[in-house]
Formats: sequence, C-alpha cells, structure tokens
Amino acid sequence: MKTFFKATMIVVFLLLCSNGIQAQTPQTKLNQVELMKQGIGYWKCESKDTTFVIEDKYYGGGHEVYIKSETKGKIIWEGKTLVGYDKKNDILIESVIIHNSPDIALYLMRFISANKFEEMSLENISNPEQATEKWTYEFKSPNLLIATHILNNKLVYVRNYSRVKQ
Amino acid sequence: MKTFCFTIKMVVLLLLSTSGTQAQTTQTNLNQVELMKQFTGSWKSNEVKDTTVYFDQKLYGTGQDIYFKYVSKAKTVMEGKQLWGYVKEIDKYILAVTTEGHDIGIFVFWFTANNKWIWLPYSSMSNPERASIKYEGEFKSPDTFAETTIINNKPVITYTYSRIKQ
Repeated sequence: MKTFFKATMIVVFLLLCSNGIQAQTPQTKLNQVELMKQGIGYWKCESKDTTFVIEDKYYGGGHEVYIKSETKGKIIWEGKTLVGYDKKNDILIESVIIHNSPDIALYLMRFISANKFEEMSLENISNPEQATEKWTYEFKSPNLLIATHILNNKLVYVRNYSRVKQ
Repeated sequence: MKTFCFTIKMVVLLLLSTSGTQAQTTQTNLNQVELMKQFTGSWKSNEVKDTTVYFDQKLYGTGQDIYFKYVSKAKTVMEGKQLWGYVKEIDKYILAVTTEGHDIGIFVFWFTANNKWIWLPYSSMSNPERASIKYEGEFKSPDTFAETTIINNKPVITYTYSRIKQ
C-alpha cells in the first residue's frame, strides 16, 4: 500500500511538473510580416556563368520583388512578384508573373522558424506536407540567403544569395 | 435504298449544322488578354468628395503592373500596388492587391463582353453568384469607364474613371 501511494505521488508530481513546463513555454507565434522584412534589399547569386538576382522592396503594405536570371550578360528570364499577408491563414501570398510566360502563379510562403521560410503552390494550402514542389529560403546571416528547390523529393538546386549593398 | 439515302443526307445535314454552331461559339469567345489592354494607361476618378483616385497601369507580359493612390487635399491618404496576370487554364485574370495596413487581396477578373467585366474575391470563384462582394464595370468609351461595387447583390457605389492623357 505504501509503495502504491509513493508511486502515485511521483506520477502526480511529474504531471504537475509537466504542466508547469508547458505553462512556462508560451506558444510563440511567428510574425510573418516582420520576418519577411529580412528579405528587403538586393540579393545576388553567382553560379558558373549565370547570375540570379532578387530585388525586394517593401511598398504599400507588401513586398514588390523583381527576379532575374542572366547568362553572359543576357537576360534568360525575369519576373515581378507581389507578396502580402493573409491574416485568415497566417501566411504570406506571392503572385508571380514571369515576363515571357503567359500565366500568373500564386504561392504560399510561411516562416517555419525566425530565419527560415518555405514556399509552395497556393493549391497546397490545405495539405502543405503533400506538396511535391517546394522552395526553402534560409537567412544564414543578415547578408546570406540560401535557397533550396525540391521537386518530387529530389534536390533541384541550392543557391547562395549574398546581399549586395547599394 | 431511298430511305438509306435520306438517312445519310439527314446525318450529313446534322453534322454540318453542329459544325456551324461550334464555329459561331468559337467566334463569340472573348480574348481576355487583348481586352485587358484597354486598361493600359493612367486613370483618375473624382467620385468621392475631396478625394481623387489615381491608377497607373503598365503592361507586363500578358499582365499588368499597377500603382494606385487616393489623394485628398493634396495629401496621399492611401496607396498600393497591384499585379494582374492571366491564367490560361481558367481563361481569367488573377489580381493581387497590396495596400498599407491591409491583407493582400486576391481576386479573379474576366470580361463578360468586349466592354464589360466582373471581378470578385478569388475564394468566391467557384460560386460567383454567392460572392458577398463583387465589382462590375463597363468601358463607356476608350477613355472612360465606370465600375460599380456590389455588396450582397446591391449596388453601393459607382466610380467613373477618365483617362489621363499624357
């Protein structure tokens, strides 16, 4: 009886401790709008003979982003995007137009930690874990952004973007 | 034999009629991308007292890159950016709108006639008749258009825009 009482006390004590720990660890919600501001600026990735550029400007409640790929001084593709916050789903939505492609595309972007966000088609909003194509952007430092593209569980590319001070 | 000939003639006649109907249907299809070009340029509206609304629309690929502002007593009280892009799959335009202090707005837009259009929240695309808010517009001339905001199927306000010639 004494052993049973002791065991029960230990279980109750552990449960109380566990609740205490939970109470001390508040669920910190990531501020998607503020975190996205880390991207503001001019970023460049040099890879062999190709240069990739991201120019992110905060404007009118959203981000106006210009993207470009250039090989030997010739523009291969360029596009414009508009990024804004969607409170209902606590995500950022990006609309993208590539200059030589007829269609606009919609993507969802979400910070999963203070320095890392993932991006996928907005069609995956109800099932993000099932997205077959995903981009991950990680701010390794205020001046280094690493972009990773995954398609069907295979790595397509890793690009290291450095901030260019203007 | 006579009956057989008659049947063949009837089938051929029906086939020809069907082809004719299809050709007429194709002819009435609206070219959304071409019609959208009517918006290119700068516009203003003085519908609200003491406030002028300005839109500056530039072609970008098959889409448009737009800056807008509301000016009251020589002061900009609201401004934002829009990106409009075509989606071939649905033969409609997607509009992304960012304004300071507001969530990103994603809308779907299409011409219902050569000079008439409708746009509503992207979330209401599958059920347009049940959209709580929608906008209906009409080009009265190449230099004038009117657009009505409809809330719960009731017209609330109509803005008339005129082209700013530069």
